[in-house]
Amino acid sequence: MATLEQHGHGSILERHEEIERAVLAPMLKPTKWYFFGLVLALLAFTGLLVTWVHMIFSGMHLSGKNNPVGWALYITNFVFWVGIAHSGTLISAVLYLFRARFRSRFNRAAEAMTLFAVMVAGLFPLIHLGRVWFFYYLMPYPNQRQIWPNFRSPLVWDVFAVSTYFTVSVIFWYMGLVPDLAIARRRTTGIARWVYRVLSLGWSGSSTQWRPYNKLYGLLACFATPLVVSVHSVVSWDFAMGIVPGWHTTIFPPYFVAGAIFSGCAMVLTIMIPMRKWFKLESLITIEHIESLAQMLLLTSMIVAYSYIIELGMAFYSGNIFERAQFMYRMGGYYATLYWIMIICNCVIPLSIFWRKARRNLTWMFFLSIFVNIGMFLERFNIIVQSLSHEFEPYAWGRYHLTYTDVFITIGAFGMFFMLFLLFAKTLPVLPIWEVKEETH
Amino acid sequence: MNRRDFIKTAGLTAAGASLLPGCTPVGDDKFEQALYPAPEGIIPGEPIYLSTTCMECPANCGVSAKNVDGRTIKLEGIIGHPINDGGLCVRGQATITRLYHPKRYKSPMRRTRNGDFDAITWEEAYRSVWSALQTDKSGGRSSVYLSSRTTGSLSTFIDRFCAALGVSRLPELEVFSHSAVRQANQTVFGHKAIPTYKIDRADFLLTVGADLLETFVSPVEHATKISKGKDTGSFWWTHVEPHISIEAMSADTRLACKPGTEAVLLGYLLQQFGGSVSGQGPIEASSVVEQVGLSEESLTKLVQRMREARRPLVIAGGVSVQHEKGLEVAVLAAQLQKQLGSAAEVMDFNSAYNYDNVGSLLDAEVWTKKLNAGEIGVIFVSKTDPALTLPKPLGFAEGFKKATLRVGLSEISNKTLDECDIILPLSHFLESWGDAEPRKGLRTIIQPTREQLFNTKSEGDILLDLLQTAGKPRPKNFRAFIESEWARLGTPLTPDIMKAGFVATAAAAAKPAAGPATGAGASPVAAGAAASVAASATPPHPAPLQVSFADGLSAQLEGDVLVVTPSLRFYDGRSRLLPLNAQGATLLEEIPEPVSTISYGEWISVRGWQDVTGEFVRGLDQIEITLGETRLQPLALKLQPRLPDSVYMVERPFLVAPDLGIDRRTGEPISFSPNLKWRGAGIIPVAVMSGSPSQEGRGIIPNAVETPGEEAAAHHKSQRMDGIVASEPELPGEHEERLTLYPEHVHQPYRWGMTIDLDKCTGCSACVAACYVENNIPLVGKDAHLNGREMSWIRIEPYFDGEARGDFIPMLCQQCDSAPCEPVCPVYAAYHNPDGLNGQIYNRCVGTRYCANNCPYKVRRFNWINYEWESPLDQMINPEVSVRGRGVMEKCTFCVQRIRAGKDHAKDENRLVRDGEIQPACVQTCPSDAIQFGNMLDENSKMMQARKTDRAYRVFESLGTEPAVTYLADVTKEDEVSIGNA
Ligand code: SF4
Ligand code: SF4
Repeated sequence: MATLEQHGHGSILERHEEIERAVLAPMLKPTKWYFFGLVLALLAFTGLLVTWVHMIFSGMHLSGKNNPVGWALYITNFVFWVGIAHSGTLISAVLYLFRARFRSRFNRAAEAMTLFAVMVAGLFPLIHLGRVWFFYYLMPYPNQRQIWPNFRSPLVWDVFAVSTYFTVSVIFWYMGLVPDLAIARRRTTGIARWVYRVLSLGWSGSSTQWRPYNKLYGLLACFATPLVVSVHSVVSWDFAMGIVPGWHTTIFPPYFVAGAIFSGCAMVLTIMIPMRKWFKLESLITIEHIESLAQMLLLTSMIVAYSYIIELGMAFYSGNIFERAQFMYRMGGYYATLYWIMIICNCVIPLSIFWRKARRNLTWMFFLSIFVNIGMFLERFNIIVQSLSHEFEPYAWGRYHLTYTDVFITIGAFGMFFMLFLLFAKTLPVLPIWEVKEETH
Repeated sequence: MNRRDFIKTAGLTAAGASLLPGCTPVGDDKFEQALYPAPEGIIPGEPIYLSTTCMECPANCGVSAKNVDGRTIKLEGIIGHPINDGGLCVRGQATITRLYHPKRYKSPMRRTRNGDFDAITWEEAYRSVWSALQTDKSGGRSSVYLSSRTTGSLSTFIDRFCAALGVSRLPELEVFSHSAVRQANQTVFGHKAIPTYKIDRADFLLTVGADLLETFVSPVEHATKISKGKDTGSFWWTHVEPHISIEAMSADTRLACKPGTEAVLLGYLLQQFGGSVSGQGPIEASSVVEQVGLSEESLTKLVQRMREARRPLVIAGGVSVQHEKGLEVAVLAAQLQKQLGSAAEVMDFNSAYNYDNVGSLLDAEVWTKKLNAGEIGVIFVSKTDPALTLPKPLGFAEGFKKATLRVGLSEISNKTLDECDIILPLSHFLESWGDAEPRKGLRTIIQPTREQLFNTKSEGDILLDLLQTAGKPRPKNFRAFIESEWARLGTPLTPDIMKAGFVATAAAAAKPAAGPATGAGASPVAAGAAASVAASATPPHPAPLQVSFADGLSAQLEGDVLVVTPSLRFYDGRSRLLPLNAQGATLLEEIPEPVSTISYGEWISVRGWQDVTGEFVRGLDQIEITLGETRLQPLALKLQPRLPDSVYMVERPFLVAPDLGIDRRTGEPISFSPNLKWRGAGIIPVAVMSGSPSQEGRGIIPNAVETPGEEAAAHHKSQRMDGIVASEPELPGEHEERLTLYPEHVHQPYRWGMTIDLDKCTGCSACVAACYVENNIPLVGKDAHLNGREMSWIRIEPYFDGEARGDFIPMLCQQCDSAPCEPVCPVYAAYHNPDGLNGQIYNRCVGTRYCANNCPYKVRRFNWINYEWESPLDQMINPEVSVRGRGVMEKCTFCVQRIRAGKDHAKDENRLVRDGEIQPACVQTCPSDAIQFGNMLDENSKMMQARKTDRAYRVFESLGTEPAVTYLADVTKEDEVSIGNA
């Protein structure tokens, strides 16, 4: 199938028909590969649930944490997934406001990604609680004892930041879906048709509906944009507000936000490149679109690299022996390998995007996105685990050791994410049809 | 003793009622009516304290057992006790886990053919023993009674028992018999005894090998006295030894000598002070430098210090008298003491320690020979473990098998008891009657502090029953015997004595230092006992040994030398109990040995700086050592900073029947093995708790000694950078103004604080044990320790910094005024209480562990799982402290339960809490009185007064956490390691 842009002639209606068919095609015929993937993801997710339940009933000793290292893989996962979530909002809201043309090819998937990633992320603070059965102590709920959460604690800020983020993302995503749901309603039968009818809220596509719709969508985009900055800033405060050397630094909010966008874009690529191929969306998502995303990646990669340098610079310039020891440890201590892998993945490999050839090579871009994912996961691990294992008190230095539980739960998180994503790809339009149509006008 | 008896006793003792129940004509039933339902003096939930004597080691400290609702839950030293004055050591604190040990013998047992034990009745047990004794008589075999050091009425009674049944009593078995010191004292002072060392009267203390604070005679007493000496302001302690121990790290000067060369140094010193060393020409300083390995400078300093001292005290002992030249060391030390002229002021032979019945390994050699020759039929083994402690060549294990009936008396199994045929289970000293006479002129009482847990009896009662089985006359019960004994000795047991726990009688003056003393004299008990030491190789009081120094003073230990040291935690091995819960934990192993910081595992130390990675290590290299013929079990190789080169150090309890030889003159075990052979044997998991031997210039312990060299200067500088203040730290609220949205804390009228004097702290870890017992801290076992999940609320951190120093610092929650852990808790589980304490509300905690991450002192502990308190361990739970469940953070709260109780008490009396009225468990037990606790708002409190020195500083002052704990830096320390400083 030729790409849409080349499809210069033919009536608009024909073209629209073609777009609709292309976008909705994946919703119709699940292949055995799809089922294979789904089952795999489901298995991984089940693994998470089983290990988690086991841990709830037996104790946190199943996770490899110990005395100096009170947070490890779960919080790493939390930060990682919140970071992944970011690109969704960024692509859908910020790029919408900037009217970036390549946005429409990614935003539905990116928004879905946001949602699912936030859902996965939201699980981790619960998983890591020693007494998850009292998680509601973190919520401000009226009670006769008049005990409120501690509003000074960044963890309480997290509760608000993440839940706000989730709510706004859901609304924004759903708003974008409504016109497409109406199209889906038109093209399906039976029960599915009935479901899509309910979900599309009686959308008819009349201009009286479109006018307020566009206004609302713009408004929501405006509303969501600051969240890109705020959520990850708040998450970064979990660390920056701490006294731990390696955490306690003012650069964290911008550094985390850039990192989040970086990892988010990478995740979008990781997902979209195969999806484009399997769901035959080449006509809709072109190399140029991927290239634009790659450039985003490059920019954020350089911001992240800059942050690493600043971090080191501050540690050595400040003369604070704890900071200095911390960063010496990062570069040469027990976990140094991970640090250097992170540097290579996040700062060196993305430089290849400067070469046009590389960034237009989809296979390379796919692998690059994987590297970035790894690098960003390690970044969080390094910040959390390394800092904690080499704090103020030398007697109390210690290490974290990976356990099966930690591994299963981490894999399960990916499983949950892909499971949700696969289900989404089968039930809802993966590209915003109306926006694509708009852009082809 | 049943429950009713117990409550009666407890009630009466506590209330100070006129007479003991046993002494009253009132019938039991009437008593019960009077006592039930609410015995006078007992209020449910209110603790009562009963005085008794700690029998965990021969020191016999006085303890006051805290009993709540009929359960003994904590031991504390008796304040004013002549031995321990309020302090208690780590073993004493932990003995309560022996009482409540789930694996205690619960009834008499007989060994079956396949080696198991079957429960039998007391009757059956007695009958078996009695018939075996009769067979012995007819078969011409002798029956023997072996026990560890036993004093007081029990010793008298054992004699009576032995006489009545024709059993011969063997010399008491103690590996730490101090026989070299006793012999040297006989040679020099005419007393074959260990005097009471009046360390607090001395202004200079020279210890040679004597592990004053660990196992040497009376560790708590020594610690207490050293602390008192330090209070005088003119006290200097120089410690010489070939290895490294807590004494080396606590002394003002530490001199590490080459193994086996102590006598050279002492000979030199003796000559310096005008004495002569027979058979030796003048010893040159240069040859001392060469042979002993000390620098000329430190030698001069030592001599100068001794010259300046008015009342110097020299104590030799420990491993330094346990080599080929051990007797020379002991004798020269005694001669030096005599030469210095202060002996009468600093040594008291009138109140010598009661070691007269204690035999040496030479005695053990005699009876093990008999055992092996099949001459011994019935052997009683009471509270001692020869299978572990006797050197292998004595052949105890083989000989023991040849006895016809082996009767073991103990609370819990050990290597020897496992081989016995009949087990007579002993009551723990906390549940039995008895008394002790640790030294002349001091008798202490042992009384039940709770009802019996199991079907056990005290040693006295068992012997009494055996007498009855044999149809001999016997006292009504052992308690009655004690009462009669005390009455006979002129101090009838009055409630006052019961309350005090001891009575100091005027000891008959020991004969002056003229010729050999006859008999240990003063006490008829001891004299009587001495007469019965029939099987002894050496007559009880032989002529003093004539020591000639002609064949040299150095033991000539070549090559790599293994030093077998006494154990702070396990003594000679007796305090190392079986695992007591599902985690395989014991309290004493849960507490790391302070120098190596190893908690669980058996290891051997060798000089070195960091372990493999310089961090928390899961496994260490393992080595196998061959001693004589025996290859030892693999031991972990711990790199130990400050240990001299070519010295390998291992704790005695880790070696089963160590084959190092016996000193033929003194009967001391040889503790050195030259030309050590070893080979690597893989990796062994050992829990090393310290993450780093160095504080890396972080100023946790400011190094105030001027150390030369650029590096040291830089080291110094980096500490300054961290803002170590050399003056009194600010009080809360006195810090510079800062921007904050929140009001400053207001504390009225209390803000609790602590001052810890690092000069006094010896790293003895008693505070750690006390904290475990007081606060129901779970024992988590080896695996948890290997994973870095220890639960200690207070820990002793050793740091080896500066030129060649080692220091300890107790680290506990600093109760920061501006606590980093508080604001990060999302649910206010960590909160600041009005008294300035950093409270932790367990049932509010959700377990985010954020507070632990954010605590710079790393003192918060997370409950990774639910720890079970297997019965009867659950009975030692302190009802005032909640037992934390899984998923909850916990930490030190300055024993908030005690603070609460103290405040309530004061409120009842409508006043404020008095200074010193409240003592957290660690403060209470500290033998060195290193920790002061009090109200920071009260300028006159002892704690605030202690802070008024330029030694005061707070850890990580620069972080602005404003800790309530102030440390007093140790500024006096000097250190010299002979052979290279690691
Ligand atoms: S503070 Fe603790 S370790 Fe130090 S001397 Fe006192 S009890 Fe022993
Ligand atoms: S020492 Fe640690 S746990 Fe204690 S108050 Fe300070 S920050 Fe909190």
